[in-house]
Amino acid sequence: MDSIKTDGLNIGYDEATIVKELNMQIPNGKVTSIIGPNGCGKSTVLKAIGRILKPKKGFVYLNGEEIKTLSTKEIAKKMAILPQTPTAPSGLTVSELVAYGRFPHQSGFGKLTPEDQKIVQWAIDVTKLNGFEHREVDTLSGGQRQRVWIAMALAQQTDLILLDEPTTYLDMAHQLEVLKLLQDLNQKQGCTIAMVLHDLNLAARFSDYMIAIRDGSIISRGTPEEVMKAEVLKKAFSIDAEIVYEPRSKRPVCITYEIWKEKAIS
Amino acid sequence: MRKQRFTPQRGLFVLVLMLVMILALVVVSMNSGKMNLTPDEVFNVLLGKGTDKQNLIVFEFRLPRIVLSILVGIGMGASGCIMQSLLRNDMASPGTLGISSGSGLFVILYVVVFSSGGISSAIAMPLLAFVGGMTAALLIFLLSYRRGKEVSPTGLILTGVALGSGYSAVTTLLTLKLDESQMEFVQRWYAGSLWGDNWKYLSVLGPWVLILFLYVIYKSRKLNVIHLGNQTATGLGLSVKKEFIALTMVSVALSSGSVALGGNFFFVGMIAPHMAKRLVGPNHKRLLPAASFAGAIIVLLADTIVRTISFGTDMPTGIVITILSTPYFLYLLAKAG
Repeated sequence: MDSIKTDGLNIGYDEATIVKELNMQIPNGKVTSIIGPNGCGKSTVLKAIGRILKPKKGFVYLNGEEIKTLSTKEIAKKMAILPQTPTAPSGLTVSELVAYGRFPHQSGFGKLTPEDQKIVQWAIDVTKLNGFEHREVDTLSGGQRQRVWIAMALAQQTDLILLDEPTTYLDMAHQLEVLKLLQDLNQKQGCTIAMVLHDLNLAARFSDYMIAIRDGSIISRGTPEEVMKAEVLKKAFSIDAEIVYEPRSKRPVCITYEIWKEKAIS
Repeated sequence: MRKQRFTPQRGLFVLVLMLVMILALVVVSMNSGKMNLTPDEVFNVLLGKGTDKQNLIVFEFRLPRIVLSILVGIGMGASGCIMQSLLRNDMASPGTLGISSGSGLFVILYVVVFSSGGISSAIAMPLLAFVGGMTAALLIFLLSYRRGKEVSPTGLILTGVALGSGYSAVTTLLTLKLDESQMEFVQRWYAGSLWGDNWKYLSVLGPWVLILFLYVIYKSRKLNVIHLGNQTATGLGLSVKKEFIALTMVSVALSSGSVALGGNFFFVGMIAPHMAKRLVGPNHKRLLPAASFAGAIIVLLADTIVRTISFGTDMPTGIVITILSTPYFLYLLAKAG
């Protein structure tokens, strides 16, 4: 069973079509990464799946149900989406922002029930934000802030979490911290994770499934071993890459690369 | 670790304090004016034991003006707060976006064609101001909308500023056709004269402002989420487009009621939400009432000052607010830069 399945998706702005005839799956219970060069449409695809962008044509199925037939609130109970670098209003505390994740489960004036409070606390525990509850989000470091947003998504209590480049602007240690947290959520809480990632090696290290996109079409998909191949990277990124298996995680990494030029051109 | 700045308890405390301030200002304002009444006399009048003259002063002159000040302040404060959150920009307000000027243009048109007076105008003027405000809002959106791109708040505000000056110019053109007394009305309206201070107008403006105010308090949860940005709000299950349009209409309605009967209070809508944010933080459950109360305090205070200190002539309340707010506004700009 796939969490997400798209059928003949065309996405674009105005006359320009960025993604054509996309048929893609996000497998249930796995960590999936979407990779590709700048402007390839990977963020666009994530936004269309997360119903932030309306596709021009085609269908998106969430657990087998077409998302156009579901209300946006119903979707928010099944799928959380974090945009790239969201910003919190100045002065908002961690626990308040995490509590906003309960939004789709509330109605009326939205007072937090004891049940809501328990879930908010759980989300704070899982993301190791204890002690930060009363801190203001805009005073935290980049890595901590990203964890707060993930906690908010967790408070939505969805099976599926979509993230658009969750490691942008973070240093190496904080990138690892965020990805390890997501891996933990997948393994311990059973969340399905799908994200757009810029860093190929991190994507290969933390994903079960990878999708490489170029010019709005899928170049390759499968396990990191299947996607992290010189041939695929040449097609996706126009690079001549050297792939080896890294001894610690036994995952493929791209150790060096050169800009690949087709001999016929020049 | 730094102490938490904004707790719900503190928010509640601030709100109660603001209410007490409003009450205190009402008492002071009740006692001040050209004809002096002692607090005892005012109290007697309120108990129904005043003389005819005292009754007239309190119930027909002072109380309506006080009620109007409070309503105008609530309307502008709440409206500005909503606009700032919708656009995620602290410079947004009915004044800066040119919505007030749009409302004003329609109000002045009405004055030119029909001249004011009668119960019909008590209803017609806020409604026309609303039509004018919505037209202005729509124009701003049409002009700053670029397909496929998110509307930039700065672009919206600059468009609003430009359009606002346009409306003012057209309004000035219209006033050339007016006789002297109408001309004076328009000028005083521009400065924020709180002219609609009789019960006939208040019986329309009162429910208008209070119902909309309660509606936005009810919507505060949605405002909280929309304040996180359109994409995050969509992810959390908010129908962003629908709520954005509804909240825009409500904020325009709140400001137009105030603009129609109070005049053009340029700064209240921008500064009241600011002060509120500093006092109670960004959660709209506390921010919206705080912004509204702050608005009421500003207008009431300015009006009390105008009526207590003799400036030689009958000075419009808005002038005092503008004079007092300009340094605050410049300070905000300097801090933001």
